[in-house]
Amino acid sequence: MSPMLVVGVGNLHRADDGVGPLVAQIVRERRIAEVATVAEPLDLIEVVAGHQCVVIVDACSATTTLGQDWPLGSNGARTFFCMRGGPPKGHRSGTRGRKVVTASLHGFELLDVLDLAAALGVLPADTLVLLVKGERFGLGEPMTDAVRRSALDAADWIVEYEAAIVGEP
Amino acid sequence: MKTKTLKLGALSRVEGEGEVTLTIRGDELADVQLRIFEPPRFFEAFLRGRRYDEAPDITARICGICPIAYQISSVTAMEHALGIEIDPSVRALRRLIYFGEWIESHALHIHLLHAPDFLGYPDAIRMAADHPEIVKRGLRLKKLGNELMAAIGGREIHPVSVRVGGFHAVPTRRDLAGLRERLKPALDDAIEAARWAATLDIPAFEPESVFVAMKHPSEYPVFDGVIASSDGLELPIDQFERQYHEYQERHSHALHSRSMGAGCYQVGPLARFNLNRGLLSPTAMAMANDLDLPAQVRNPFQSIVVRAIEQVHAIEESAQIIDAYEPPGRAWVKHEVHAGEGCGCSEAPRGICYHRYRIDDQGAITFARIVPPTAQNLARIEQDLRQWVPGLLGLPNEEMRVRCEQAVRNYDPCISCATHFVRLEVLPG
Repeated sequence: MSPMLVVGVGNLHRADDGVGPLVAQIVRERRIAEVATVAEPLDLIEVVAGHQCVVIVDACSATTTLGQDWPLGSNGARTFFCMRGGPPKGHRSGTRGRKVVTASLHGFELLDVLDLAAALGVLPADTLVLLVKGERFGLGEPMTDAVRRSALDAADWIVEYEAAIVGEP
Repeated sequence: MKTKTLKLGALSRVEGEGEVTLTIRGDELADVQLRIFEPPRFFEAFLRGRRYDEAPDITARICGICPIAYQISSVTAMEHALGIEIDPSVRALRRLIYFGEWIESHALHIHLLHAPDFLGYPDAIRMAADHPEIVKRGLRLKKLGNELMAAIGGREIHPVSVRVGGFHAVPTRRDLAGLRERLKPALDDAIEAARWAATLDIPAFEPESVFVAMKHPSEYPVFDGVIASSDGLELPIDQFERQYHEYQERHSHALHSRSMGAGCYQVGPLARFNLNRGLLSPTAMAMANDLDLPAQVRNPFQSIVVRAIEQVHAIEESAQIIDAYEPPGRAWVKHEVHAGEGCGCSEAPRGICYHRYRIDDQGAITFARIVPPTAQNLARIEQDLRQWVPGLLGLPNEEMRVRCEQAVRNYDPCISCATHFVRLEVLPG
């Protein structure tokens, strides 16, 4: 059994926000890793607890240059990066500093949840977040073709990553 | 005389966008404004012309944290308009799903939003490093609340099963059996949470306040009964708008509310508790007594304790409902559509959520009014700050900000709910 857990975060009914669950579905079909989906990021804490290696896939709408490093996390996870059209091959950034967001609302954002999981001691040592930039998030709208392609790229990358993990001594 | 305006910036750990502005003249507080700048959302306007049976799912979108409150208030209003009597089992299920929402909302607020104030942390994340057991307990309780909502409502966020006349589908006894087992450890968690909350350093603050909540002769109120107040009023739900008036403040995208003859008033856990303490479940009532809560809890900072007591009640009554549950013969009542008007009111986690609708003979909504709990509390929150801030004036600005935010969070405000509508006047050109 693979030591990896893949978690898709998002809502399939909200266009590109569904990329996380879509990647999870593709990975499940390929039977390479345990898979889970969550609609609310806070649920991640229970889902990831007890695992050694987790890949979390979510959509983002940030106006940043994607495909490059994006300093997202300071929570002890090994690597964070965002991606478009698949993560940069062979690329890993180090853990970056990030100001903790204190204006948390009733809905906790993904990165706050990861910080919380780290503070609780349940964040797996090897945690990666794949973020796919979406273009539209309206209820009932179809996912864009670009994001569908990104989902396939992300799944391919996860396959490679999982093989590397399994191959590690 | 020197005047200082202190903007406390975007409020954190509340739902929605708002800020507090304090105007300090010399060494006196001259003005307080709880500025709500989250954009208005016009729900009442775009309900007009929609079918009566769309109201539950449309209004549920007003809030992600208390969709059940909007669904139940809207279906009860429509059922009154159409003269529909629901099955007792359906009524019990509605209480159960509503308790799921209370548990989820209270657990989040007690443990992750309000607790950091009392323990001296800027947020739950930094508190979790030193007090992981508190956060984990909150997450366990929140999850249970979510599961209750999902079991009955189909999903935890914006559940979909509530409908006019009943539910689209109802669970079997077996569906609820697993949850029943989970309620046992959850009750232990809730009791522990209440005991812990009572040990917190609660600031001394006893403002005079008028409390308004629903009241029922035999049940801790959720969605049936009358509107009652601590100044002795008891009104049928359809008289609500005669006594409680909405009005616009220039600094707020959300309407404020006042009680005729009494001014600002307060809804929410303290109001429910103060007006219905004798109807708490046995364990919740025993805890309220053991923790020496006064007959009338006036200190808004004690709301964290009262929420914890309500959580005990919600779990204990949920168990009773599941034990007694028999699925109804029909999940929903068939009904004729005709023109009518009806009101509905229910006790959202933050207080009473009032709806009134008028529908035509085709079932189209021609009028909608929704009065959410946070909008009713806004004037009361400002009044608390007027009384609370003078004692803080010698403090550094940052400490004053923290203490003011704590006072605002006593009400667990949901600004996104409150801004569902703003009065809009179009002047002739």
